[in-house]
Amino acid sequence: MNEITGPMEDTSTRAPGFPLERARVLVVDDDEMIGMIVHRVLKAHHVTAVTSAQDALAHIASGERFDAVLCDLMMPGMTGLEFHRILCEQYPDQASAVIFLTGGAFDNAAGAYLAAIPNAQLTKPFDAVTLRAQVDAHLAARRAMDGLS
Amino acid sequence: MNLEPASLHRLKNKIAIILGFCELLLESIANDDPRRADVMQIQIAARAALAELPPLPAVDLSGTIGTAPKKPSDN
Repeated sequence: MNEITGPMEDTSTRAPGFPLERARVLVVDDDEMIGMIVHRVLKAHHVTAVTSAQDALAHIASGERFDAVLCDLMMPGMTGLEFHRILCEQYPDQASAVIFLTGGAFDNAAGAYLAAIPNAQLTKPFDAVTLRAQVDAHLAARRAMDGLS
Repeated sequence: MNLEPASLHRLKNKIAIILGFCELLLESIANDDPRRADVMQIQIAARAALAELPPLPAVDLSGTIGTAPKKPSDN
């Protein structure tokens, strides 16, 4: 399992009202370097980067929970959409945490799937400012939902 | 340029990586450091290379996903 992780924390699950500046972020991209960049750009957060959807599922199946899951769409073995579908069925709280990293092209069926779900998309290549802004907006929205629930 | 979609995707990913590390370098190099100009030249070249590439063709990503789950607002 190729994996990059940030400094260890003593909790495996997110506490309600987690601070924006220290959230748990999972990056799923078959190119390890993308994970390294996201890890560096989001250094204010606790970032775990894996290179396959299967590895990501293993983390989640073990009980880890993430406030944001940045997931590539085109990956060998299991695509980002298949990964999301499994999350919807088995870990719906994590499905809503997914932000898709896209190359900007997919077929009609995949486009329809993406259009039917509320998850955000970030087109590669993305700049650091956009990545931080999108993740912060996502975290703020999740925190607001936690506050409402 | 005639590249297989998977090769094109990988090539675009590599350029994204070059641009990403350029940005990280620029964040860590002082504004008056002459090395900034060198990094910016790499950035310009990488962006130009990206612009030379054709758009990614439609790629089948659906696999076994089936239908999309409903939005909360659909319930």
